[in-house]
Amino acid sequence: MDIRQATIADLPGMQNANLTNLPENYIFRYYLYHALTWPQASFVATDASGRKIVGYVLAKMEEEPADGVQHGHVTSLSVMRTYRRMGIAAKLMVLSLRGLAESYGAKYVSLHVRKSNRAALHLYRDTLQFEVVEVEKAYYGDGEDAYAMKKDLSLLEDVDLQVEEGDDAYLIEAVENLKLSDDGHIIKN
Amino acid sequence: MVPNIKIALDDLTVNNIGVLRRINNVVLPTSYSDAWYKDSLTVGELAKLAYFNDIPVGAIRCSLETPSSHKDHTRIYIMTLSVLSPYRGYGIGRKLVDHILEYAKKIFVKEVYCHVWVENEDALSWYQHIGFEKGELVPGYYKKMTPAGDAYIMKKILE
Amino acid sequence: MSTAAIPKARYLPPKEAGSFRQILQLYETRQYKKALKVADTILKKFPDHGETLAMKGLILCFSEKKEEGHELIKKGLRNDLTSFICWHVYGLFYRSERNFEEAAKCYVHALKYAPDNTNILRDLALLQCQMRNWEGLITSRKSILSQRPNVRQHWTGLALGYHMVKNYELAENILSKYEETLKEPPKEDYEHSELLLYKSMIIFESGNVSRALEYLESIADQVTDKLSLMEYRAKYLLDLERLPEAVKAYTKLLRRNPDNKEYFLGLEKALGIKDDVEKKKALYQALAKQYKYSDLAKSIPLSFLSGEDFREAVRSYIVGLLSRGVPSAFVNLKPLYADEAKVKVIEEVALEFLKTLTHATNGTNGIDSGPDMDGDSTPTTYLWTIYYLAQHYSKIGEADLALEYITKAIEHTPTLVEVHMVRAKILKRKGDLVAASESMTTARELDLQDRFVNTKAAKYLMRAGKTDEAVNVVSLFTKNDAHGKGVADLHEMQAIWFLTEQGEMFNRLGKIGLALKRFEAVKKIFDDRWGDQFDYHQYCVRRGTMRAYVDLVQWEETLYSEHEYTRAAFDAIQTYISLYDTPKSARVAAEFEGLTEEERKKAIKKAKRERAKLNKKSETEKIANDDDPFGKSLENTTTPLEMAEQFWKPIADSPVKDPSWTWGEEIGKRKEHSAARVESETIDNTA
Repeated sequence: MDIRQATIADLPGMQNANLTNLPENYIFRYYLYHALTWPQASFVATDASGRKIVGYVLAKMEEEPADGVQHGHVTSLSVMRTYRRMGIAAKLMVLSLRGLAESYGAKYVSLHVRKSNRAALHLYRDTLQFEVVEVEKAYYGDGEDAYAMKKDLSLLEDVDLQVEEGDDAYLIEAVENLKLSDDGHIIKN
Repeated sequence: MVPNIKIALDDLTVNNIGVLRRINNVVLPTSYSDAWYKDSLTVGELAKLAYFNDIPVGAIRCSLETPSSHKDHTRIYIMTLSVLSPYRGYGIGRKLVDHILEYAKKIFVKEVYCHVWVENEDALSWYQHIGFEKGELVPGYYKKMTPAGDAYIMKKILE
Repeated sequence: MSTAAIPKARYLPPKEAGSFRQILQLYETRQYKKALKVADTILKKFPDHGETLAMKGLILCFSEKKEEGHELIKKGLRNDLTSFICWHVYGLFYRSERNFEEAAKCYVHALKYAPDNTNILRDLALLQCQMRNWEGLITSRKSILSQRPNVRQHWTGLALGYHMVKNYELAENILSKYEETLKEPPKEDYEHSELLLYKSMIIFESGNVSRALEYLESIADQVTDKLSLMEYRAKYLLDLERLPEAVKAYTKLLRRNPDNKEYFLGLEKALGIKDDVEKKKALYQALAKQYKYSDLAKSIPLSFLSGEDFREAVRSYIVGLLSRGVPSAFVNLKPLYADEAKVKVIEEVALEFLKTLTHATNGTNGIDSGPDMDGDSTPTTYLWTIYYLAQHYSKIGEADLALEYITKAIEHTPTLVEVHMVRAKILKRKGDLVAASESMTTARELDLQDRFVNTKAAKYLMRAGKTDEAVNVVSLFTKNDAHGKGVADLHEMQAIWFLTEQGEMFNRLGKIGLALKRFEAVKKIFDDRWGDQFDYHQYCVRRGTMRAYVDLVQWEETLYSEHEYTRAAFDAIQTYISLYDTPKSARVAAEFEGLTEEERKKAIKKAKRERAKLNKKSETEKIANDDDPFGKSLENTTTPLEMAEQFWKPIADSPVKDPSWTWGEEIGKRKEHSAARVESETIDNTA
């Protein structure tokens, strides 16, 4: 598994994952539009070979926010059935939220989820601490209602940016404190 | 290793009705009609699936019996209760029945009952174990068995 | 422009000249109907006025009267060959046809008569990007910039031209000059931040890494994209062998995302332990402790460890995944299956683990038969373990053992979708496509809400040749037509997987026309992807997302070498070649070879009946509003080699080469042969 920011070359794989996993689909131009307008918002997960996209999050900034507040929107998120229970969806989301906040100054992020999609609801509400804002009646093409959810991003900390002395000490220690015992085995101090 | 077990109940829907079918087919000696499964989608809280670590492994399906005369009261009848054999002993059946008992209280139903084959001692004692009492004997209840099997009524009266 | 220079044919009296300006405005604001009316009033008096004819033609083209419009545009141009407007219009027409080459020629003509026209220059620049004519782009962009030096995008546009021809120095200079024009650099401005990172990338690509780093650090507080900032910095430091700093940089990146392979590999290099297995082992032990939820911290060592170390590591990895019920345990380990020794260890470890598991199997009557806590593990762990072993044995070619394990798994938990999916896969590998498809259908019926298993079920049905069922299944998740079928929607949504699978199925069933139709549809998706970039040549320069844009330009170059294209293309080429090798008359003759006259008649009748039946029931294959729903015109093509060439050419032009792609020769051989045949026939005729 490898999780990284989506590149243009990832878009066909994202479109394929979307088409084979979810009922809401988009044409290629829409993926291009996302990636060329908000390149820092979307992320992908690949399989062990590094070639196949097994999960993605496609996100954007709301272009004309009705409330006048800059905020992001998750267009689509999917992880292939056979790659579940590895926490991929949550990891993708966290990276996307950070990208939206840092690059585009998103104050919060919004999304829609099918009312019947319990697993997704669990992810957003319990794992990622989104809150339900309202129920949008017949939001989906097939008539199903959606929960409109959002998460405040003002509390995201810049943990990565503070250079702290000795942050890497444990690694250097691990590598340097190796000694060979008499029988050639490694012993750690 | 500490076993990591999560048991949860979820609604029966048009999308997972195949699961109820499969569990019943594997576990129960009798088979049910398409109409019965279709009908199962209309009973709301009276049909539930049980999940063990996110895998569906058990199901309950009841019906609400409205009284034929004003002397009787409304009852809930457990039509099927099934748990895949490797998942027995984890309290899944109990959780399913508890759900029904709680729901019964909520809608002011005073009795939940079912039929159990007289020879099925495990089941009889299990129902007693979770607070059901043995009621009357119904001779020849299982008509499809040869010879026809007798059944006990197992019931729980709610306060 | 002085009026004296206006040729007589172009001259309009002041009133009409005003009307003409009005047309241009109406065109810009897309008020086509009004524009046409105004044009007609001019043409009433001056029926040969070239520029008016051209504008009217252009507007007709955009009002769904393309043929009439095209004629008018041509007529207008003929009447006024030195008008930049007429040439510009003709260019716009070609552009709308996606004939970029001809469009560019028209713009160049137009610029002869209006060398400073920014609109035409800008339009030309877009085409130059599309056609990768970077030298031409530099010329256009220079011209534009000299006219409008106060707009950022014109600087970026020129820098792009230099960047693309690898003239890094000039590219950097242009961007620096732009920076100098700013009195005060904007803070927390995304577009500006992107520009600075673009420049840093250009300096890095020029090979002057230390200056790239220096520059990156100087702009750090203006950059909003913190991830790129950190990634670039780590990469530059590593490149410069400033290792202790690189270690810190990668450590920080890992804290942000401990699931990124590049960060782990970067850290190995920065620590200088890339080739030291013992040290790497210690490193990953420390990392796995720090990042408990990182899969890579545990899985990367499996690739470099061996012997007892490997056994220990793989045991703890597998046991962890199986106990947690991770369905992807097998696919996570699949890359290791290239190593036979490792495969053996994995098998031993998995079997050992299975032995340690006891699971409750008592109880026979469908209800809980009392608590049974003797087992030291949960039933799902046992389940996922035999599920793993089934996949393992299937992978190493032990189909029977694989089936044995998956059958056990299905008996254990028949409600788990995944076990039926794996059974389907094992059966497919064994070649039992019908049984495989039945298993996949069982899986699908357990979870109708999941499109993943729906897709698989449809694919397996197609492999089993079940045309209609497959369409019915796949249509449960599409926007459907009047017949309740989603085939048109799958075209519209560019479902390459479906089109290719269906095309290959039609091929197997001998429905050549339909097969070719689907392959052509795949080609169209790729042609659209090539065309889709067009809008972004201007857009990205304006939005400032240059790094993503450069990424796009490079990706488009290899578009047609992607497997998704080559698979459908080779299918199509092969089919067209067989059409050439066995012309229709020969195919029919072969079918009836060795039959008596009476038998022949019977056979023909039967074939006719079957065809009628086929066409009737193939509603599921048809798409509304299609003149040729069964692809008869493709099947009956008189130029199959040329059709095949259409598929081959973009592959041949791609920079990615694969020696196993030999279709070019196959087509070439036949074309030579065909040319020789025509020649000899011509000689025969004249003789």
